[in-house]
Amino acid sequence: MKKGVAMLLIAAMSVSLAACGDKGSAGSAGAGDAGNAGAEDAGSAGSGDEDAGTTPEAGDTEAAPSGGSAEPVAGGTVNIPITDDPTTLQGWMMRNSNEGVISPAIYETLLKYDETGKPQPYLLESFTGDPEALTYTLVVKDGITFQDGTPLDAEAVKWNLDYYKENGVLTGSYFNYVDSVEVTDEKTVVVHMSSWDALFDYGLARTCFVCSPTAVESLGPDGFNEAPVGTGAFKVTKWSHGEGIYTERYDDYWQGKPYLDNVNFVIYSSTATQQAALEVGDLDVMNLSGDAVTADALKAKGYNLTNAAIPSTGYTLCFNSLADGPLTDVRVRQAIAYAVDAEEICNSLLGDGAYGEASTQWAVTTSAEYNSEVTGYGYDVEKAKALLAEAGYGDGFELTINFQVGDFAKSVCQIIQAELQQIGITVTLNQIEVANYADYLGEWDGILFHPMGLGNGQFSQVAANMIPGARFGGATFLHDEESVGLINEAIVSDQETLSQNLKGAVKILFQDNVELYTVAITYSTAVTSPKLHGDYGSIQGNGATWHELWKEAE
Amino acid sequence: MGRYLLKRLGISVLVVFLVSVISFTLVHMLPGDPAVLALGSEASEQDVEAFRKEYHLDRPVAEQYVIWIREILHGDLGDSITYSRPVTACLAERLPRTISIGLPALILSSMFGIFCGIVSAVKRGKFVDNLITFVSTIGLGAPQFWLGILGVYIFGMKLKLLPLSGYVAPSENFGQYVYYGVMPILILSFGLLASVSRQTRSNMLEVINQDYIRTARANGLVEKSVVYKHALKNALIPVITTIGLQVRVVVGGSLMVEQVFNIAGIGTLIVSAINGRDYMVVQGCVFVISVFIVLVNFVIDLLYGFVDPRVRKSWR
Repeated sequence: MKKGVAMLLIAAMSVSLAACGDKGSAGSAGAGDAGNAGAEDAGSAGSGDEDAGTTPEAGDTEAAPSGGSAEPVAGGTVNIPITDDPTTLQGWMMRNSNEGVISPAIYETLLKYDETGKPQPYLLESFTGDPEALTYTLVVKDGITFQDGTPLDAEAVKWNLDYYKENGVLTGSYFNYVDSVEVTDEKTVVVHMSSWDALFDYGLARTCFVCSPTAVESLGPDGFNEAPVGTGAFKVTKWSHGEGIYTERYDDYWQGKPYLDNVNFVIYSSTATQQAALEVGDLDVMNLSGDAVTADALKAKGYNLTNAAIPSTGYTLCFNSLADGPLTDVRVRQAIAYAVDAEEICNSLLGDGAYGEASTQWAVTTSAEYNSEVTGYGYDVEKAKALLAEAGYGDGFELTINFQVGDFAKSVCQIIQAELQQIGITVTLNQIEVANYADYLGEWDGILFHPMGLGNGQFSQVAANMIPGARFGGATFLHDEESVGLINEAIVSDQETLSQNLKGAVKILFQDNVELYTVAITYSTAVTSPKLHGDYGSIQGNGATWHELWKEAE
Repeated sequence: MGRYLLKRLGISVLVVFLVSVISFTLVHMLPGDPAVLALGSEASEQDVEAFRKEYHLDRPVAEQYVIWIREILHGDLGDSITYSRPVTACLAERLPRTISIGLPALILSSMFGIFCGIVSAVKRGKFVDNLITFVSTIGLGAPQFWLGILGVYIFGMKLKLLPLSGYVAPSENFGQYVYYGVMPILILSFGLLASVSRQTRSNMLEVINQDYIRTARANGLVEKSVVYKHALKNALIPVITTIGLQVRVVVGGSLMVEQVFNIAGIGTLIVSAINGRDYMVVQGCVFVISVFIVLVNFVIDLLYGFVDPRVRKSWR
């Protein structure tokens, strides 16, 4: 009897061990970085992004050749995971990471970021600004129609701009200076600004998804939410709340009829179930961010991995330079910068730089917004110790580092904790729940390890956040006259001055004052089934050329 | 009887009221601003303020509670802060999914749990008893997510007999419902079955050793009649209580099972609402679940009377 029970016990344990031991199982996939996704995802997710396929040097990590025939095949369904129900499908309200996955298939923006992170006309033929006249002139491309068959013309663009100004989720941030919108001919719209805003194009590329005015007016906002109509390659056929969003191809898509019949966005809340579903073919794509463990495991199994061309997140040490204590001394901040080995952190946690890299600022070298004068602080423990001693903190001090819950952030902060211990700084880590994180954005104790969304570039984030009155760091950043002056002048200037000034502000913030210290810049990584061809891009799906995606027949 | 019913009804209403007050207070004590969470950290202060006003978040908590109760009395659970949709619509979508998994699990576990408990008690110390005890111990001790992942690994990934995850409503396609639902239902019922089985066994053992059972046997009654007619009836009351307590799974769902099998039920809705500080959804869900559980317990109280004449007598 006892023997039988023992055998049963052994059998149960063996099965359990087998399940836990397999890399493809949930155990290994549990390193999903859900916390990170929920952070400053608005920036990365909703933002326009460049076609990853056109810039393979910008972080393409493809592990296996596409394989199969080179001839595209029409038909088929692609299933893409999202982690939760989108909060909305209204183009003027979409902003979070899940909505960022869905929106590019349905909607498009008037402008779109190029590979250097600069907004360029997309649904527009041209976009020109006149700072003297305080106007932006938008000329709409010919032959674009909404999925309900109505044309995208000047009237439709005006309606969208007016509607966004009135109802858009980020209208207070991006449409503040829009005074009125005028249609001058069938294809031309003139936007009159109350004050010049050199970053208006970033707002248009970022968040203002173009919706069909006819559909909004006939269905009403609530009805439109369930059956949204944009100019994208796929139109929504059904939103099954809690399950997913189902779309079918839009045959009259302006860039050509899509190959795929359907693209479904299905809810898989955990990385573990997503990985399992990908491996049995229930999913065709998986989006990762800063999760090298899962990415490497899938790469080893022959899945294709593609990084977005534009970085998604800049993990940054944000110093509270105003509160009484050691951090008010720039030498202490410099010492911390010297003591943190960002290169090594990126190598060890981001697959030897395959999924991210170290940088001295919120941009990478390929970006037009990168300031090469910001050289940063190399890893030098002795220099760090000397600076601390010079500042009168040779015996060290106690410091808090706050970070939002997430595997990647936690690992980085633990490494930094150990590194700072070497120079006598005793770090207490404070892990913050996603829902509480917003409470820390205005003021924090010590350092905030912040995942800054970089989907809309460095300039936009610096201009929006590093000024007095901004929600982020309002009570912790120095807001010194010079950097604030440069930013304020940049916003009301032409593009050349904008770039020059904001690069100057970046130098002050990251190099001179060390108010910010970038530890890692990560890319969104798309893991795609070998049967899926074309360029899915990554989670920042604005880069995907949806109509060119095709799937090998089963 | 009438007085008893009235008393029970009064207690039930009081319980629902207290649950609503406690859940409302607790959820509002959580740190985090639902307006900022809904709009994002980039939203301007005036947008956030307007949002707060729209959802009465700018009012004192007590006033918010009064507004909420007033809306409930008008049959309205309010609008979700996160999804900008009526909470009733969210519940109407999620509740059927949770019930269609939870109810079969409860029925299965109750039937087989009682049966296993009886067999285990009657065959005390024998192989069958040991086997049932062993399996029940696993059922009680093993976490649902572990069992779920194990099931997914063996039956989904390795044997490819069942789907990894997903859900099809029984009204849509019953065959597919069974195909997709069999694993979550079995996993969910396993833990419930174990507790019902253990409860039944221990009660049956207690009853079986009592004098009146010995007397029944001495009078020559057949064993079947002794067990099912005389022993089981008296052993059932605590079992009914146990089953009654498990009813929460039918409406409240099991978060772990819903997560592992990707079923958009009430459990996942509540958790995502808590994470998003969606006060209206949390309150709405807790309210509906508590009303349901209180109602079920009310019915169970009545059932005691039908099972045990002594309880019926005390009503008079």
